[in-house]
Amino acid sequence: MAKPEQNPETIIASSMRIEGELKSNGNIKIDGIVSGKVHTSQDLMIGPNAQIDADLIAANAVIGGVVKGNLTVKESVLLLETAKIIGNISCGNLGIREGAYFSGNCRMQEPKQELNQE
Amino acid sequence: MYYYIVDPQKLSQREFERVQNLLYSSLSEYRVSGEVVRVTGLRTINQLVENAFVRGVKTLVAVGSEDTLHDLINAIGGRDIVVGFIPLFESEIGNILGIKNIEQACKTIGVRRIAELDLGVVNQNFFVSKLSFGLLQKTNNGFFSIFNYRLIRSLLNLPTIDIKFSADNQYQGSLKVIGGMIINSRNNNSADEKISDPTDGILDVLLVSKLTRWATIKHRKQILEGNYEKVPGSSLIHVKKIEILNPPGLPLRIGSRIIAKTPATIEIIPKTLKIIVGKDRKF
Repeated sequence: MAKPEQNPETIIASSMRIEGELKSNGNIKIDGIVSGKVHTSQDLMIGPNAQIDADLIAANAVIGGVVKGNLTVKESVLLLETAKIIGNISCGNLGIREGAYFSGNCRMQEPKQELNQE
Repeated sequence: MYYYIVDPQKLSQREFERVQNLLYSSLSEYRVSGEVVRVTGLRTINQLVENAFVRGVKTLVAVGSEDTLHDLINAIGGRDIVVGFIPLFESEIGNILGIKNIEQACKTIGVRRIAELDLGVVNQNFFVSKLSFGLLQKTNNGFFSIFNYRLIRSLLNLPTIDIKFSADNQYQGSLKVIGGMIINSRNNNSADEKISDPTDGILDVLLVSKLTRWATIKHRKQILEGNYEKVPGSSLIHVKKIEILNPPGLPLRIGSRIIAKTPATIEIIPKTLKIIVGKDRKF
């Protein structure tokens, strides 16, 4: 499961508003308002006060805020208690804490079957 | 051939003579002698740099302050030449380059370890270190200044800047800040090293949001030292180009010197500056 990042490389604080396509090769932490698209090849953390109106693409994601948009994650997604997702999720692993709200479709990668030689 | 441009600036005549003697003896000791010229009211750095190019000089050395180095780099204007720096005063850039004093700087020039650094450019002005706006910048006696009542009071009364910017022509951002920095390189002993690499082809933008009075007092050390990333509520983005669109007329400083005003476009030009660095450089 994705872990909350302690020292993210891009930080969008709660007072910041972003419109457009935010791309990064490092981790991203968002506590502010973002509309458009967010794309990172690393981890994405959406704080509890964040309001996202954007499609999100990341390797791992921890969601604590409001997201209106589709979430495409290569590995794992964790929806925290404060998360509110309106959109579709595509991921490898999904964790949902009690209290999270999710409205949309979820598509997960089928786990690879390990060959048993016995 | 080495061409030394000496800019004594605030040095008294007596102090300058002492520095000059030390400089000549060090240049001779480390076998890096060359032509030494002094900046005066009639001979500006621009004119001296043009003279150097006419003479076919291969290495230009700024002897003076960070302003001297910046003026020299701007006079060179991206032309192909190796630059050196001999700081006469306490210098953040000197520390970044691993150059501490005259003797060690001369030794470093003798070793001639050359690095290719990125250059920031704001409205046609090049910079090596960082551009700042809003907040007051750190003083050299930082330990005492954080207990200075007048300084704390001025921090508490800092005006809020309603800033709007465009980054890499991909997105626009807006927020209320009390200050910010656009960093190519900086001397950060304990801070995040990724934010200070002058060879990564990226500008790191740190923006400090308006803080509560308590938070301002609590984090005044980090604010005064310029470690904004350690101040809660700060934003950090990485760009190759940023346009500060609003507010108009906001002064952008390098150190205490205002070099441009908004609206301004700030870009990074990767690996443009060939400069002699010491083994203790910070990158």
